[in-house]
Amino acid sequence: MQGQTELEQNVSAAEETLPDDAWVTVVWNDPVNLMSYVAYVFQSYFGYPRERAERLMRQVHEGGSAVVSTGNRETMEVDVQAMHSYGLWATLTQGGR
Amino acid sequence: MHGFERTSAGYVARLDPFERDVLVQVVADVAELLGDRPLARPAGSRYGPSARGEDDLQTSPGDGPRPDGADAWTSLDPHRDALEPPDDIGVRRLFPDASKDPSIAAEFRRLTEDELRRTKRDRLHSLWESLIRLPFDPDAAELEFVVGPEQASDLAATLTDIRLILADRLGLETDEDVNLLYDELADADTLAELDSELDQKFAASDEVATKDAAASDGGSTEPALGGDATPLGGEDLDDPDQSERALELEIRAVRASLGTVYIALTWMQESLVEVMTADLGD
Repeated sequence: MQGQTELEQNVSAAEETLPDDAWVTVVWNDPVNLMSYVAYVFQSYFGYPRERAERLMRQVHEGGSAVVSTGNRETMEVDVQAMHSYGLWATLTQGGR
Repeated sequence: MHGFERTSAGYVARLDPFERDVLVQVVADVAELLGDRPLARPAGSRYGPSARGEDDLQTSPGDGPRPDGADAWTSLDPHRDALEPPDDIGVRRLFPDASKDPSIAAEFRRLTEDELRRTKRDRLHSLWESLIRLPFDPDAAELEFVVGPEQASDLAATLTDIRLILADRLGLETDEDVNLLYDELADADTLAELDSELDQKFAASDEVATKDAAASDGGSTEPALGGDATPLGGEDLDDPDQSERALELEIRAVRASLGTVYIALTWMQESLVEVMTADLGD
Protein backbone atom coordinates (compact mmCIF):
# COMPACT_ATOMS: atom_id res chain seq x y z
CA MET A 1 0.00 0.00 0.00
CA GLN A 2 1.31 3.36 -1.04
CA GLY A 3 0.33 4.96 2.27
CA GLN A 4 2.37 2.45 4.25
CA THR A 5 5.54 3.05 2.27
CA GLU A 6 5.10 6.78 2.64
CA LEU A 7 4.55 6.44 6.37
CA GLU A 8 7.69 4.36 6.80
CA GLN A 9 9.71 6.90 4.84
CA ASN A 10 8.25 9.74 6.86
CA VAL A 11 8.87 8.00 10.12
CA SER A 12 12.46 7.16 9.23
CA ALA A 13 13.02 10.76 8.17
CA ALA A 14 11.67 11.82 11.56
CA GLU A 15 13.93 9.33 13.33
CA GLU A 16 17.06 10.87 11.88
CA THR A 17 16.55 14.02 13.85
CA LEU A 18 14.64 12.68 16.85
CA PRO A 19 15.34 10.31 19.71
CA ASP A 20 14.14 6.71 19.16
CA ASP A 21 11.45 7.06 21.75
CA ALA A 22 9.90 10.16 20.14
CA TRP A 23 6.24 10.03 19.19
CA VAL A 24 4.74 11.32 15.95
CA THR A 25 1.29 12.39 14.76
CA VAL A 26 0.33 10.95 11.37
CA VAL A 27 -2.53 12.33 9.26
CA TRP A 28 -4.10 9.93 6.74
CA ASN A 29 -5.78 10.64 3.42
CA ASP A 30 -9.55 10.34 3.06
CA PRO A 31 -11.88 11.08 0.14
CA VAL A 32 -14.01 13.62 2.01
CA ASN A 33 -11.65 16.26 3.39
CA LEU A 34 -10.92 19.13 1.04
CA MET A 35 -7.28 19.74 0.17
CA SER A 36 -7.71 23.43 0.99
CA TYR A 37 -9.21 22.58 4.39
CA VAL A 38 -6.41 20.16 5.30
CA ALA A 39 -3.82 22.82 4.45
CA TYR A 40 -5.83 25.38 6.44
CA VAL A 41 -5.83 23.08 9.51
CA PHE A 42 -2.05 22.52 9.29
CA GLN A 43 -1.45 26.24 8.95
CA SER A 44 -3.83 27.44 11.63
CA TYR A 45 -3.42 24.69 14.25
CA PHE A 46 0.32 23.99 13.98
CA GLY A 47 1.19 27.52 12.92
CA TYR A 48 3.14 26.23 9.91
CA PRO A 49 3.86 28.67 7.08
CA ARG A 50 1.49 28.32 4.10
CA GLU A 51 4.12 26.60 1.97
CA ARG A 52 4.91 23.91 4.55
CA ALA A 53 1.21 23.35 5.29
CA GLU A 54 0.51 22.83 1.58
CA ARG A 55 3.48 20.51 1.15
CA LEU A 56 2.24 18.32 4.03
CA MET A 57 -1.29 18.39 2.62
CA ARG A 58 -0.03 17.18 -0.77
CA GLN A 59 1.95 14.44 0.96
CA VAL A 60 -1.26 13.27 2.65
CA HIS A 61 -3.33 13.52 -0.51
CA GLU A 62 -0.86 11.95 -2.93
CA GLY A 63 1.16 9.68 -0.65
CA GLY A 64 -1.65 8.58 1.66
CA SER A 65 -0.23 10.00 4.89
CA ALA A 66 2.23 12.44 6.42
CA VAL A 67 3.93 12.98 9.76
CA VAL A 68 2.64 16.38 10.83
CA SER A 69 4.15 16.75 14.30
CA THR A 70 6.65 15.13 16.65
CA GLY A 71 7.20 15.23 20.40
CA ASN A 72 6.38 13.36 23.57
CA ARG A 73 3.35 11.10 23.85
CA GLU A 74 1.18 13.59 25.76
CA THR A 75 1.75 16.33 23.19
CA MET A 76 0.95 13.94 20.33
CA GLU A 77 -2.26 12.92 22.09
CA VAL A 78 -3.29 16.56 22.20
CA ASP A 79 -2.45 16.96 18.49
CA VAL A 80 -4.34 13.80 17.48
CA GLN A 81 -7.37 14.88 19.49
CA ALA A 82 -7.25 18.28 17.77
CA MET A 83 -7.05 16.63 14.32
CA HIS A 84 -10.08 14.45 15.18
CA SER A 85 -11.92 17.56 16.29
CA TYR A 86 -11.22 19.12 12.88
CA GLY A 87 -12.53 15.93 11.24
CA LEU A 88 -9.12 14.74 10.01
CA TRP A 89 -8.10 11.11 10.44
CA ALA A 90 -4.96 11.04 12.61
CA THR A 91 -3.02 8.48 14.63
CA LEU A 92 -0.07 8.63 17.00
CA THR A 93 2.83 6.24 16.89
CA GLN A 94 6.19 5.89 18.57
CA GLY A 95 9.33 5.99 16.45
CA GLY A 96 9.29 3.39 13.66
CA ARG A 97 6.79 1.13 15.38
CA MET B 1 -27.11 29.30 -2.73
CA HIS B 2 -24.22 31.74 -2.82
CA GLY B 3 -20.94 30.67 -1.23
CA PHE B 4 -19.14 32.61 1.49
CA GLU B 5 -17.67 36.00 0.73
CA ARG B 6 -15.69 38.28 2.96
CA THR B 7 -17.54 41.46 3.90
CA SER B 8 -17.15 44.09 6.63
CA ALA B 9 -19.87 42.23 8.59
CA GLY B 10 -17.95 38.92 8.47
CA TYR B 11 -18.13 35.95 6.11
CA VAL B 12 -21.50 35.94 4.36
CA ALA B 13 -23.25 33.17 2.44
CA ARG B 14 -26.78 33.32 1.04
CA LEU B 15 -29.35 30.53 1.12
CA ASP B 16 -32.90 30.40 -0.11
CA PRO B 17 -35.46 29.29 2.50
CA PHE B 18 -35.69 25.78 1.03
CA GLU B 19 -31.91 25.30 1.16
CA ARG B 20 -31.91 26.55 4.74
CA ASP B 21 -34.63 24.04 5.68
CA VAL B 22 -32.70 21.17 4.10
CA LEU B 23 -29.56 22.19 5.98
CA VAL B 24 -31.41 22.53 9.31
CA GLN B 25 -32.77 19.01 8.79
CA VAL B 26 -29.36 17.50 8.09
CA VAL B 27 -27.72 19.32 11.01
CA ALA B 28 -30.47 18.07 13.35
CA ASP B 29 -30.08 14.50 12.05
CA VAL B 30 -26.32 14.45 12.57
CA ALA B 31 -26.59 16.08 16.02
CA GLU B 32 -29.05 13.40 17.04
CA LEU B 33 -26.75 10.73 15.68
CA LEU B 34 -24.10 12.04 18.10
CA GLY B 35 -26.53 11.85 20.99
CA ASP B 36 -28.05 15.34 21.05
CA ARG B 37 -31.66 15.67 22.10
CA PRO B 38 -34.00 15.79 19.10
CA LEU B 39 -33.90 19.23 17.49
CA ALA B 40 -36.91 20.71 15.75
CA ARG B 41 -37.11 20.12 12.01
CA PRO B 42 -38.52 22.74 9.67
CA ALA B 43 -42.29 22.38 9.37
CA GLY B 44 -43.38 20.84 6.10
CA SER B 45 -39.84 20.07 5.01
CA ARG B 46 -40.01 17.79 2.01
CA TYR B 47 -36.45 16.64 2.43
CA GLY B 48 -35.33 13.28 3.69
CA PRO B 49 -36.64 11.30 6.62
CA SER B 50 -39.91 13.08 7.38
CA ALA B 51 -40.92 13.19 3.72
CA ARG B 52 -39.83 9.69 2.88
CA GLY B 53 -40.94 8.05 6.07
CA GLU B 54 -37.54 6.54 6.68
CA ASP B 55 -34.66 8.05 8.52
CA ASP B 56 -31.77 7.92 6.06
CA LEU B 57 -29.24 9.01 8.60
CA GLN B 58 -30.59 6.84 11.36
CA THR B 59 -27.96 5.22 13.46
CA SER B 60 -27.79 1.46 13.65
CA PRO B 61 -29.18 -0.10 16.81
CA GLY B 62 -26.63 -0.22 19.57
CA ASP B 63 -25.04 3.15 18.91
CA GLY B 64 -27.39 5.03 21.11
CA PRO B 65 -26.44 8.34 22.64
CA ARG B 66 -24.11 8.25 25.55
CA PRO B 67 -26.33 9.65 28.25
CA ASP B 68 -26.02 13.35 28.84
CA GLY B 69 -24.84 14.33 32.25
CA ALA B 70 -23.23 10.97 32.84
CA ASP B 71 -20.20 11.51 30.64
CA ALA B 72 -18.92 14.55 32.51
CA TRP B 73 -18.42 12.36 35.57
CA THR B 74 -17.59 9.01 34.08
CA SER B 75 -14.73 10.42 32.01
CA LEU B 76 -13.06 11.45 35.25
CA ASP B 77 -13.39 7.99 36.73
CA PRO B 78 -10.09 6.10 36.34
CA HIS B 79 -11.84 2.77 36.97
CA ARG B 80 -14.38 3.28 34.28
CA ASP B 81 -14.68 0.53 31.67
CA ALA B 82 -13.05 1.24 28.34
CA LEU B 83 -15.33 2.75 25.72
CA GLU B 84 -16.02 0.57 22.71
CA PRO B 85 -15.68 2.25 19.30
CA PRO B 86 -19.08 3.46 17.97
CA ASP B 87 -21.03 0.74 16.11
CA ASP B 88 -22.14 3.13 13.39
CA ILE B 89 -19.37 3.26 10.76
CA GLY B 90 -20.14 6.90 9.91
CA VAL B 91 -19.97 7.95 13.55
CA ARG B 92 -16.78 5.93 13.98
CA ARG B 93 -15.20 8.06 11.26
CA LEU B 94 -15.78 11.09 13.52
CA PHE B 95 -14.09 9.28 16.43
CA PRO B 96 -11.48 7.09 14.71
CA ASP B 97 -8.97 4.82 16.44
CA ALA B 98 -5.98 6.96 17.38
CA SER B 99 -3.49 4.09 17.04
CA LYS B 100 -3.00 0.70 15.45
CA ASP B 101 -2.06 -0.50 18.92
CA PRO B 102 -5.41 -1.53 20.43
CA SER B 103 -4.41 -0.63 23.99
CA ILE B 104 -3.26 2.88 23.01
CA ALA B 105 -6.41 3.35 20.91
CA ALA B 106 -8.64 2.21 23.79
CA GLU B 107 -6.95 4.46 26.32
CA PHE B 108 -7.14 7.44 23.97
CA ARG B 109 -10.82 6.78 23.38
CA ARG B 110 -11.50 6.53 27.11
CA LEU B 111 -9.76 9.84 27.76
CA THR B 112 -11.01 11.86 24.80
CA GLU B 113 -14.16 10.56 23.15
CA ASP B 114 -16.73 12.07 25.50
CA GLU B 115 -15.16 15.50 25.29
CA LEU B 116 -14.81 15.26 21.52
CA ARG B 117 -18.42 14.12 21.21
CA ARG B 118 -19.58 17.13 23.26
CA THR B 119 -17.48 19.51 21.16
CA LYS B 120 -18.92 18.17 17.90
CA ARG B 121 -22.46 18.15 19.28
CA ASP B 122 -22.17 21.72 20.59
CA ARG B 123 -20.86 22.93 17.24
CA LEU B 124 -23.78 21.28 15.41
CA HIS B 125 -26.17 22.74 17.94
CA SER B 126 -24.90 26.28 17.44
CA LEU B 127 -25.03 25.92 13.64
CA TRP B 128 -28.61 24.69 13.98
CA GLU B 129 -29.48 27.72 16.14
CA SER B 130 -27.85 30.17 13.74
CA LEU B 131 -29.74 28.67 10.81
CA ILE B 132 -33.19 28.69 12.38
CA ARG B 133 -32.65 32.29 13.51
CA LEU B 134 -31.59 33.67 10.13
CA PRO B 135 -33.49 36.93 9.76
CA PHE B 136 -36.23 36.65 7.19
CA ASP B 137 -36.56 39.50 4.75
CA PRO B 138 -39.81 39.12 2.78
CA ASP B 139 -38.38 41.26 -0.03
CA ALA B 140 -35.29 39.10 -0.50
CA ALA B 141 -35.28 35.71 -2.18
CA GLU B 142 -32.35 34.59 -0.06
CA LEU B 143 -31.41 34.61 3.61
CA GLU B 144 -28.06 36.05 4.66
CA PHE B 145 -25.94 33.71 6.75
CA VAL B 146 -23.29 35.82 8.49
CA VAL B 147 -20.41 34.08 10.27
CA GLY B 148 -17.88 35.94 12.39
CA PRO B 149 -14.24 35.11 11.58
CA GLU B 150 -13.87 33.74 15.15
CA GLN B 151 -16.66 31.17 14.52
CA ALA B 152 -15.54 30.24 11.03
CA SER B 153 -13.14 27.48 12.05
CA ASP B 154 -15.85 25.73 14.10
CA LEU B 155 -18.25 26.00 11.18
CA ALA B 156 -15.70 24.54 8.76
CA ALA B 157 -15.09 21.62 11.17
CA THR B 158 -18.83 21.01 11.56
CA LEU B 159 -19.33 21.01 7.80
CA THR B 160 -16.60 18.34 7.67
CA ASP B 161 -18.38 16.22 10.30
CA ILE B 162 -21.67 16.42 8.39
CA ARG B 163 -19.97 15.59 5.09
CA LEU B 164 -18.22 12.60 6.69
CA ILE B 165 -21.57 11.17 7.81
CA LEU B 166 -23.20 11.84 4.42
CA ALA B 167 -20.20 10.30 2.64
CA ASP B 168 -20.61 7.14 4.70
CA ARG B 169 -24.33 6.95 3.81
CA LEU B 170 -23.46 7.52 0.15
CA GLY B 171 -20.74 4.84 0.25
CA LEU B 172 -17.97 7.28 -0.74
CA GLU B 173 -14.79 5.42 0.16
CA THR B 174 -12.35 6.58 -2.50
CA ASP B 175 -11.68 9.70 -4.56
CA GLU B 176 -13.10 7.75 -7.50
CA ASP B 177 -16.42 7.20 -5.67
CA VAL B 178 -16.67 10.96 -5.15
CA ASN B 179 -15.97 11.65 -8.84
CA LEU B 180 -18.64 9.12 -9.82
CA LEU B 181 -21.17 10.87 -7.57
CA TYR B 182 -20.43 14.19 -9.28
CA ASP B 183 -20.79 12.56 -12.72
CA GLU B 184 -24.02 10.87 -11.68
CA LEU B 185 -25.60 14.09 -10.45
CA ALA B 186 -24.19 16.23 -13.23
CA ASP B 187 -25.92 13.96 -15.71
CA ALA B 188 -29.03 16.07 -16.21
CA ASP B 189 -30.60 13.47 -18.50
CA THR B 190 -30.45 10.79 -15.82
CA LEU B 191 -32.01 13.09 -13.24
CA ALA B 192 -34.70 14.27 -15.64
CA GLU B 193 -35.49 10.66 -16.52
CA LEU B 194 -35.70 9.77 -12.83
CA ASP B 195 -37.98 12.73 -12.16
CA SER B 196 -40.33 11.99 -15.00
CA GLU B 197 -40.53 8.31 -14.11
CA LEU B 198 -41.33 9.20 -10.49
CA ASP B 199 -43.95 11.71 -11.68
CA GLN B 200 -45.57 9.03 -13.82
CA LYS B 201 -45.69 6.67 -10.87
CA PHE B 202 -47.33 9.31 -8.71
CA ALA B 203 -49.75 10.23 -11.50
CA ALA B 204 -50.68 6.58 -12.01
CA SER B 205 -51.31 6.04 -8.32
CA ASP B 206 -53.34 9.27 -8.08
CA GLU B 207 -55.49 8.18 -10.97
CA VAL B 208 -56.24 4.82 -9.36
CA ALA B 209 -56.97 6.49 -6.03
CA THR B 210 -59.33 8.93 -7.71
CA LYS B 211 -61.13 6.11 -9.53
CA ASP B 212 -61.39 4.12 -6.30
CA ALA B 213 -62.80 7.10 -4.45
CA ALA B 214 -65.31 7.78 -7.20
CA ALA B 215 -66.34 4.11 -7.32
CA SER B 216 -66.75 3.73 -3.56
CA ASP B 217 -69.61 6.15 -2.96
CA GLY B 218 -69.94 8.03 -6.18
CA GLY B 219 -69.69 11.39 -4.48
CA SER B 220 -66.68 11.46 -2.26
CA THR B 221 -65.11 14.87 -1.88
CA GLU B 222 -61.95 13.37 -0.41
CA PRO B 223 -59.02 14.62 -2.46
CA ALA B 224 -56.69 11.86 -3.58
CA LEU B 225 -53.54 13.69 -4.51
CA GLY B 226 -50.94 11.10 -3.61
CA GLY B 227 -52.01 10.90 0.02
CA ASP B 228 -50.25 8.72 2.57
CA ALA B 229 -52.56 5.81 1.87
CA THR B 230 -51.42 5.58 -1.73
CA PRO B 231 -48.08 3.85 -2.02
CA LEU B 232 -45.59 4.69 -4.71
CA GLY B 233 -46.30 2.42 -7.64
CA GLY B 234 -50.06 2.45 -7.11
CA GLU B 235 -51.90 -0.43 -8.65
CA ASP B 236 -48.74 -2.23 -9.70
CA LEU B 237 -47.47 -3.09 -6.25
CA ASP B 238 -48.77 -6.65 -6.56
CA ASP B 239 -46.55 -7.11 -9.59
CA PRO B 240 -43.07 -7.99 -8.26
CA ASP B 241 -41.27 -6.42 -11.24
CA GLN B 242 -43.14 -3.16 -10.82
CA SER B 243 -42.67 -2.96 -7.08
CA GLU B 244 -38.96 -3.73 -7.47
CA ARG B 245 -38.73 -0.92 -10.01
CA ALA B 246 -40.56 1.43 -7.62
CA LEU B 247 -38.12 0.55 -4.84
CA GLU B 248 -35.15 1.10 -7.12
CA LEU B 249 -36.49 4.52 -8.10
CA GLU B 250 -37.05 5.38 -4.46
CA ILE B 251 -33.47 4.41 -3.56
CA ARG B 252 -32.09 6.43 -6.47
CA ALA B 253 -34.17 9.44 -5.44
CA VAL B 254 -32.89 9.27 -1.84
CA ARG B 255 -29.31 8.90 -3.10
CA ALA B 256 -29.77 11.86 -5.46
CA SER B 257 -31.10 14.02 -2.63
CA LEU B 258 -28.32 13.06 -0.18
CA GLY B 259 -25.75 13.46 -2.95
CA THR B 260 -27.05 16.91 -3.83
CA VAL B 261 -26.78 17.99 -0.18
CA TYR B 262 -23.26 16.53 0.03
CA ILE B 263 -22.13 18.46 -3.03
CA ALA B 264 -23.78 21.69 -1.86
CA LEU B 265 -22.06 21.41 1.54
CA THR B 266 -18.73 20.68 -0.15
CA TRP B 267 -19.10 23.80 -2.21
CA MET B 268 -20.13 25.85 0.83
CA GLN B 269 -17.11 24.60 2.80
CA GLU B 270 -14.78 25.32 -0.12
CA SER B 271 -15.94 28.93 -0.29
CA LEU B 272 -15.59 29.29 3.50
CA VAL B 273 -12.07 27.81 3.60
CA GLU B 274 -11.01 30.07 0.75
CA VAL B 275 -11.88 33.26 2.65
CA MET B 276 -10.47 31.86 5.93
CA THR B 277 -7.19 30.92 4.27
CA ALA B 278 -6.92 34.33 2.64
CA ASP B 279 -7.25 35.90 6.09
CA LEU B 280 -4.53 33.64 7.54
CA GLY B 281 -1.89 35.08 5.23
CA ASP B 282 1.27 33.16 4.38
